[in-house]
Amino acid sequence: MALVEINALSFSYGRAPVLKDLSFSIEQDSTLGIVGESGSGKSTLIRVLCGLMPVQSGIARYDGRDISEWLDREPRGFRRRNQIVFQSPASSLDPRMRVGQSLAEPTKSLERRTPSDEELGQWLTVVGLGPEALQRYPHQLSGGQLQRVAIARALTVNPTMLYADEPTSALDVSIQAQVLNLLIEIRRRLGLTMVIVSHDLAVVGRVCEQVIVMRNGEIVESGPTASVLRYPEHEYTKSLVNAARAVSLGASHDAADAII
Amino acid sequence: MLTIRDLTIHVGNNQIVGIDELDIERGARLGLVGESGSGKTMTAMSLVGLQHRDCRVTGSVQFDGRELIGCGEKDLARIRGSDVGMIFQDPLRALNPTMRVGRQIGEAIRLHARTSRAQLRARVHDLMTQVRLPDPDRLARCYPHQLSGGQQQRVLIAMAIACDPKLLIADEPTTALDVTVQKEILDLLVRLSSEKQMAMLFVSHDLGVVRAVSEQVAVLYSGRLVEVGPSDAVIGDPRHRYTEALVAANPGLISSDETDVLIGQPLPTITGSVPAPGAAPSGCAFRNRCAYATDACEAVPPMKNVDSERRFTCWNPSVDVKAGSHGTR
Repeated sequence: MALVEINALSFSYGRAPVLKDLSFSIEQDSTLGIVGESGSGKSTLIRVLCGLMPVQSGIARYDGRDISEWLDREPRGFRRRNQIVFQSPASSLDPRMRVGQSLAEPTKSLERRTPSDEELGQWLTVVGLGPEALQRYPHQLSGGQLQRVAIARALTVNPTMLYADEPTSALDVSIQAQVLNLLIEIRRRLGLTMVIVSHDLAVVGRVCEQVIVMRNGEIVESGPTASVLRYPEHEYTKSLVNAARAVSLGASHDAADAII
Repeated sequence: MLTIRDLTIHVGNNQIVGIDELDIERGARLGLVGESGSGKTMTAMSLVGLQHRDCRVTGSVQFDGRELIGCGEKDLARIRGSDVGMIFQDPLRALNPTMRVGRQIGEAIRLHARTSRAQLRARVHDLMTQVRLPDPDRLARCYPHQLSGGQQQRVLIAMAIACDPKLLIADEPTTALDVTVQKEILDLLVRLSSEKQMAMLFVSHDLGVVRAVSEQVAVLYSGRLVEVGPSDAVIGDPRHRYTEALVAANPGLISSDETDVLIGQPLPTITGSVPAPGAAPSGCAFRNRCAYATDACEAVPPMKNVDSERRFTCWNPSVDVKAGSHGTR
């Protein structure tokens, strides 16, 4: 069943169109990767989908109901179900709040109750940190640990959808692997539907079953990740695959030249 | 051309970096790889006296026969930007937001050479063409924020090569860029380096990026070199367990028949993180994160030579020197 359905969705900042007539759907329990360069509209798209930006034109449905309607009638219910993790963990956590306070925020505002330290500590355990991190301030944690906290914060309200906007771009390769593994694991354990935005095909190729390639606000190619990466059809996708292969350790340089 | 011997960097009583020996030949490209906190940026900065004022640098860095450590600020300032060019990770932060980019590139030239206004303008145009900036005359009049990230980095490269440096220090120059733009910038750096016989010290956390640029790679862990050698050999057949783990943690680009199988499968990781300054274990600094650590690792491992070009320092390498140098691939 399609959990999210998009039909002829468009969005513009002022007069500049950012999303142009997009249509696609996201199946329940699937993982979708959205790739594209800066300015392709990928971040705007997921901000619309999780209700941080309005649906300006076209149809965007979540669980069979218009997202605008959700936001009107049941904003907290919608936000509880749709959580997002941002690129820079350092700037998405309040530097003056202890980790415990930051983690409690979604539950306080969306469920109108104060979660116990025990409950929050359990979420920290889920993301591979100990409950002792509750007392820490963001500056006392490393980039990888902060991203784990941001993921835990998104999980505290038991979402159905987890959006992640470039969740590992600010991290070292070695830490990136840890965070990707965490996303893979929590998805499996909690049965989440997950959407990952990334400019890195290698990241998407490791985590997502489906992929959408965006350029200038349009979808230029989509399909199962395995076949899109192996047999890219659109010129832009080919250039993305080539660029990724040039810095990839997995494939030989000859293979990268062969695809053009 | 660049000869580093017994370079140490201390902050307070903690030694952050200790590099016994590292050379860059004229026109050669060396990649310095390490995780955040490994000391790679500190090393690169200290070569030209740009370390933080709390750092104490000792040892020897010979550049073209001149000793740079202990060299006066005046001499260092003359070397920086002329004989040694530099580019950094975040281009927008390295550019003056209130100055048109043409003038900024011109400033890089004027600081080190006397030129007439017409000569200067021609030189700026020439540099902008060399770094493949489109429509140089128009872009020269733009402010940095009007340029894309890739264009900003090209402007910085133009400034860095303005005085035909013999060495370019590039500190994560593509980390903030998209994959496609990253490839263009890497290609540009390789082309400039080959054409101008300009040596390059390329600092990055990403082995894939390093291999795309440099023939040689030096892997840094907790301020110490753990493996040095030709990039293809080190990445294809790593000896030190740390290098091996770094290679494995790279997601690669899955394009073979395994793709369907690998999606959703966990990547091999390195547990924990780089030790804080002064908190590294004795002996091999990697041993508390290493799956192959034994009691032997409590002692400092010796540097072993695979051949004249390759060396590593590990008690339990994936292939030992005596066992022969056949790959494990």
